[in-house]
Amino acid sequence: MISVQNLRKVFSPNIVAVDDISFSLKEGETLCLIGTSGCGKTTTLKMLNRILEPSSGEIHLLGKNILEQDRIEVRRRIGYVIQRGGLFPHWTVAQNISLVPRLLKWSPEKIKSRVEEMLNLVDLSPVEYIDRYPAQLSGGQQQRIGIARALAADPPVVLFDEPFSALDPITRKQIQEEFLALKKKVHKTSVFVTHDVREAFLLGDKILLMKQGKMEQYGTPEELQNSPANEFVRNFIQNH
Amino acid sequence: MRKSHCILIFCLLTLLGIFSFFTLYSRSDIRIASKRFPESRLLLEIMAQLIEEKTDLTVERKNGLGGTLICFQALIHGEIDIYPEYTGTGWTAILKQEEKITDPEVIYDKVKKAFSEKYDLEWLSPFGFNNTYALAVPADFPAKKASDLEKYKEEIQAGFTHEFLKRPDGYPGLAQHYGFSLSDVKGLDHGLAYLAISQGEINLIDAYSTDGKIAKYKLKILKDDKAFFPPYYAAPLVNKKTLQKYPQLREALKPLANILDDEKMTQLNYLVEVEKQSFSQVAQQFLTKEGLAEKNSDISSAPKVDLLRLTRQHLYLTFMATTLSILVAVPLGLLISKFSWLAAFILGVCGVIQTIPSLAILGFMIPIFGIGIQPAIAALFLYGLLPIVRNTYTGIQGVSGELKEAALGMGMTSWQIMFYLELPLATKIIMAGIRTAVVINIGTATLAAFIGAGGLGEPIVTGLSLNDNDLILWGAIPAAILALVVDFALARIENFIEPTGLQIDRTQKKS
Repeated sequence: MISVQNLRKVFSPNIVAVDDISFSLKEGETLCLIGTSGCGKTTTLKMLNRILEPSSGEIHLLGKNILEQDRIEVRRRIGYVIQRGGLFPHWTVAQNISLVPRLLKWSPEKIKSRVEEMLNLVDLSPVEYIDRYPAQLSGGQQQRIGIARALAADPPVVLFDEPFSALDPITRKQIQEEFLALKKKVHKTSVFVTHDVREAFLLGDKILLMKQGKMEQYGTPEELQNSPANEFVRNFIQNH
Repeated sequence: MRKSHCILIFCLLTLLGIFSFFTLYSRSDIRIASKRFPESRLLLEIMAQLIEEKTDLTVERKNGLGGTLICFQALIHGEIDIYPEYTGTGWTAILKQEEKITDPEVIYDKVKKAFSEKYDLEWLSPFGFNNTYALAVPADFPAKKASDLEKYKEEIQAGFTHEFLKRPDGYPGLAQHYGFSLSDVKGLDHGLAYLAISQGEINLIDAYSTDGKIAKYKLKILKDDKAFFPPYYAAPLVNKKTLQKYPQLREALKPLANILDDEKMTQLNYLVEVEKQSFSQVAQQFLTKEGLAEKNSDISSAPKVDLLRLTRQHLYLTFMATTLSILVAVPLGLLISKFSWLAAFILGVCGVIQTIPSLAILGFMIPIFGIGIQPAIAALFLYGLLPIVRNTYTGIQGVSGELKEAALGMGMTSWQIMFYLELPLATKIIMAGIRTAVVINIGTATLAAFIGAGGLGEPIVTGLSLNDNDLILWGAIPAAILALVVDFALARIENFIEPTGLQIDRTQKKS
């Protein structure tokens, strides 16, 4: 589905933010990028939808190198969820969810039914929520709309940039469980950045642990748990 | 829905603005201007009424257009057709001649010839009186003649008009001719100078010898014993092209030759300046008495100030200027929010414009746009830039980077981000900038009357030169009310066009 080879990002003059990262995901798999702050996990994620341009390396989506495609087109085919949802405050729930379908010029009828479908998917009643503004939603609801917006155009891959970190622990737990339920329903490939080891182990099919731009270990949660590659990995998992 | 309403309202306002232009500033056959003192205004009115009486031409009055320079520039550029000018002023201030001529006929012949050759302008026959510059002091001041001033120079506190302070036939020449120099000299508006001398703030002013206020304020004229001031015979100064186009004009103005002597002119000035009769009334009575007009009562009953027309002109000036400001400043604000290295420069330039005094900026526009509404709109346009550019920039900068990144990540182009995200989120702040610009411009537009653009400044300017406080208030109070009303209305619009989601967000944060 998505494969990344030798991804590298150098910020001028010679700060290496991401150094030689490679991974590949099958359809429906979730990869969690973890690491201390400043380790390059968010930078890696932002290269996947080309908010940042890689200095070198390759990113293949459905077998095609996205670095050779139109940036705007690529982004519209990749879902994107950020902290607190990143909803546009001046748009209603319906307008927010339909953002990418509208960019892709879907017909109004198709958009309307898709919005309702998405609201049902994240367990929010369309009748009640469709015309609300973000300010009229709780933090958890905003985050669910954020996910609905990312899934609206049915992208093959969804990127999550620490989406739940601003939520209170109870809401957070709840939405993590919803995420797992959703994953079973829609079977999306996703890359998920978090600094919370427990969250990574809960949600990830694979985990990539980074330190100072470098990959320390890449594997399933069990592999990291049972056979940590080095001392850093062992400590990180135990202490977080 | 709401958006389309806004667009509709905007289109209607623009149409109204364009329509106002034709109704408020339709061009007449003959445009007569005057300088900013009562005698000049009265001569304008006398000429205007006589032309209206004797011909079918339509006449537009540009009352109190400006000083010598502005009137003269307007005349040679064809912005106006006639204004009353004085031979001495033509000789020294316009032709910049230093030769002293005391014979009124010689000076008239010389300026007539020079103006005809140099500027294609014609001096018609003089009205007959000599309104020379004069130095006036309170009646109880010991000096009797100008050469006495040296003796009393320690006690003298002079208040001269700005024009008098600069002109070679004014204070600089006078001081040289008589060989004195005064230590305390202030520049004052002519109308205010009378007020100041009557209250004892100053004790020497420049006056016009036919000034009606000399009697009112119990002043005496110092004798020009060394014959410094040249003769100032007033005459209609006309553009020759106008005379060719409308030959009947020359015929119509002919009866004015030698119709006024010094005493008659002083008397007429007294009627407007001291007895506060309207110019049109005094002009009409005079023409009737001289047998040049039928008795006609509808002029004298006309209101002193046409508030509705002035308010509409005022709004028109402000509206057109602000619309232009918006069209330039909002894109400029967007530009500098994208190219931040430009921001300091552009904001700096706009800031410097803002610090130029309003009258100076109006003055700068005259060589470019002539006189009237264009330079006024151009000046107000410049004043409107800073608040709008700055607020657009601030508003766009204030949009959270997180949202912009979300938009980018979902595949919006930078134009889409600008139109669908940044501009809507900055609406309220941009609108607040527009509101500031409009309120500044309603205030500044009162100064537009100084360059003949009309508006509520007209009664203020006239009132200043007549020393008529009532008249000043007729302009000042409506202008202040207008500013408050428009500010209130714009505040409503500001809330109205703020996107609903943001309003909800704001009210929730408050509670």
